Amino acid sequence: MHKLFVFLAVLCFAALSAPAQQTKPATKTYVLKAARLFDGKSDALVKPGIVVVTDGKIVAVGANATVPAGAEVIDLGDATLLPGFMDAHTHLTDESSDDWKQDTIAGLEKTVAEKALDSTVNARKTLMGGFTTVRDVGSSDYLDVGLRNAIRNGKVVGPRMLVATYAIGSTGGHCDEFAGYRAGLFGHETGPLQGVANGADQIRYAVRLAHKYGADVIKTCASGGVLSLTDDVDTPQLTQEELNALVDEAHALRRKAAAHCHGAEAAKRAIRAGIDSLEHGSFLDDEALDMMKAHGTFLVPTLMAVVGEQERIARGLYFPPVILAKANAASAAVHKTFQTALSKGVKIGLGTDAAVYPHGRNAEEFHQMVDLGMKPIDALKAGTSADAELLGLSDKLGTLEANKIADVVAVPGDVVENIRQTEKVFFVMKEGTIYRNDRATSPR
Amino acid sequence: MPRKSVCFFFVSLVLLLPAVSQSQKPASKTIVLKAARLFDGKSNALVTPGVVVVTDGKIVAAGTSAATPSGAEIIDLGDATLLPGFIDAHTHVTMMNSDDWKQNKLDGLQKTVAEMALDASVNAKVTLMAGFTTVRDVGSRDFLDVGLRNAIRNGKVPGPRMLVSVHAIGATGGHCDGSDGFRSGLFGKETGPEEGVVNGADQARYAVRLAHKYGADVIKTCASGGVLSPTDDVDTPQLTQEELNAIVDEAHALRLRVATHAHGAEAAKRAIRAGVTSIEHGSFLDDEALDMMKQHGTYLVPTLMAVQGLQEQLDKGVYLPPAIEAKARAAIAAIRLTFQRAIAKGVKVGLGTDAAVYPHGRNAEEFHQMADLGLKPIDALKAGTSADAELLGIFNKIGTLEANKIADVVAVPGNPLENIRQTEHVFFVMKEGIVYKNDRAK
Repeated sequence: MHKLFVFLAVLCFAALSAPAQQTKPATKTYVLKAARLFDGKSDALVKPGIVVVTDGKIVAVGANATVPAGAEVIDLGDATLLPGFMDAHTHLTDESSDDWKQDTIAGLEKTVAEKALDSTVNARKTLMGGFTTVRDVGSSDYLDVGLRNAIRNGKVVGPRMLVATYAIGSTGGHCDEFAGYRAGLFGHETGPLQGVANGADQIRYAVRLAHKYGADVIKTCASGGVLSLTDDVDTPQLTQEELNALVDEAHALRRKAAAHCHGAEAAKRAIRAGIDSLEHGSFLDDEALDMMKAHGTFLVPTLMAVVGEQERIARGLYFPPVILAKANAASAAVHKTFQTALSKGVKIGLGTDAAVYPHGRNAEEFHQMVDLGMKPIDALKAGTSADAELLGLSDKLGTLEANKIADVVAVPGDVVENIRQTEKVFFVMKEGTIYRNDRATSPR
Repeated sequence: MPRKSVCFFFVSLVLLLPAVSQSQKPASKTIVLKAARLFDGKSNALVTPGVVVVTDGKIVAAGTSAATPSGAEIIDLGDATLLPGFIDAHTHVTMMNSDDWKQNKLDGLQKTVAEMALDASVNAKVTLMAGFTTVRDVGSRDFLDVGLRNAIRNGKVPGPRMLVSVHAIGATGGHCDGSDGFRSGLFGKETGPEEGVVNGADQARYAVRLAHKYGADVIKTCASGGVLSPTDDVDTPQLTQEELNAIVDEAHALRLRVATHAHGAEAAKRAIRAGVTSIEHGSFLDDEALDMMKQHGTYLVPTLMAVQGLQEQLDKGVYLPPAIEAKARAAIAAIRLTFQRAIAKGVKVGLGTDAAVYPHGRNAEEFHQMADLGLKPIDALKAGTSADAELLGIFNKIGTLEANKIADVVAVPGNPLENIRQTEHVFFVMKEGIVYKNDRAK
């Protein structure tokens, strides 16, 4: 009987190890170890930190996790493991160099193909900075759709992307990409296919077009903006009816809606309509913030946008004069508004407005928020579990827990003691694939 | 090996130096490449040993010996052969190769231009890594080729130097009419000069001007039918003598060369008379056509790998539309014999593969395909280096390992003259002085 068992076991092993042409790839388990771990939702770090990953999924977390035989152990030493960071406000397909005028001209001259290829550089930097998921809130020519797909298909390296395609706003508003050029230049006015809509019906049509062509999230411009040429920064640019139609149609199609919004009146219309998040929020008043608290609306402060603009101003780089004035006005207000939002307990999501500052510096948003009074642990939550909730991905991402997707990053030391360690990500795993490990020993 | 440690010490110093100066001009950088042998791209034999001295992306010396400047980084590739970076005179880097014909066709309708551009970047990289540092890309869509060329040139993505054609120019319903068999009216309007579809000499001239306006480095035209087009015969002449004359005349006026897709003999003769620089494929060329090519100095670019790719798909039983399958079999049967007659007559041959018709990255198999049909190995190597550089009109800068040329250098193990298939094992790739691949690095 014993001999039979051995014989069968040998057969079984032989069958398992026989090279077969079309079988599934062998299962792969990693065990990530570090001195500490932030799970994305707890109020304190766990020591030590262990994450067990099998075939791209987290199977166990915590000091007592079992280490399966045959697992590859990666010991990251004196570091903190965290869920892959999320940025709820990027423009990965936008470039911003030091030369405003050249960027504008290049925007008119470059082929869509070249812009797509240029954006891969931004995508890679963003992932290597520890950001494994982004909500990309405004592109053109479906550059964002193409980039998202190419990343998903493993053709290029970058974060998981939720994309908006064209942001939706009114004629001449912050999201009308022809604003600033003379009338008639491009042969036709912007319209719903470029996200420009007037009236509730056209707005609904624009939402349907965005969804048709690949949008995962609907972005709208509820107010004026800093970097647009022809509008005031804070005026409400969509009516209550238009915003109601936008959110209604988006939610019917199971898409969340994010509103660019500096001014208070615009914000209140958007909040009433049921918008899921307000972006920037420079001039929100107490009433708007109280409404956000009541509705559960997220604020995405994009403090790095202010950093980006102020750095350019400090270096004497060219901004069109109208934009310069608006940038200074918004910068002066937004920090105060953020602090008021914090004190009122408004939900905060981490989002940076990447492209308004150089791609790859997204993690500086953590310390920007902490410097204004946010608790470090809350800043970390904003960039992990809170963003996952905002993006509607909580069931799969945002925390280090069993059955979640294995997006894991590591920073040196204790990230709660020094929030700026978030800017030193040295290990990046996305869906179980390691894209960066500066502490790896030399290759086999 | 104390001398080697001293060498490595200096190498590390040299490598550390650039890190010191952040925003000044980068310090001058010299790399010395050494191997057992060297093929300079134009000589009739290899030299032993081989050395190439590269400073700031330019070759300063190449041959069997050269002075090693102090402070140079030395890369010793051992038992290998240094060659000029390979050139492929017929690629479609922005098109996808696929065994799933139907999915490929649907992708062409569904994918955004952005995604197609990003897919193409994968093809570009694998082509460069196979040792092809320059390609003449002869047909794209939506300016994917222009975008890719520029992004590579600007250092955004790795890939070969590209000469691009924007859109190939041909007749309504011809091999280069991208309507691709779809029903009339589906896309809202007929294809026209903006997509390279022309009728009459004036429209042909307009199409050349448009291609040039939007970035073409070379003009591609479809003089005959083709294999992979759904609605035409493979060999019929599709442009008149006047149309071809206009195309070549306008192209040359704008300092652009003309590459001509031509399977059939009548089409080829019209093109040769018009003054095209090369005939691509040439499956059914007759003696008269070959003699005309010899006389005019017209290049033949046989694209034997296209035939190989099609044959492999036929062998695998991959689905091809029946009309296309029949044309493929006809061309496969003819093209190899035609190539042998061309060599016998001394027609100039350029290496070009029709990449995308077979999987990208296998370009180097064209060398052995030509050698197997009787082309001398040294001549095959020349076809993929100096001859192609001459065909592309860039011989003053590229195609040989000589002082003052751009430092595009590759290496293969052993001796490719003894075994031409070593070309398929490129393990070192330098383009413009930057090392993209070195499998023998420590």
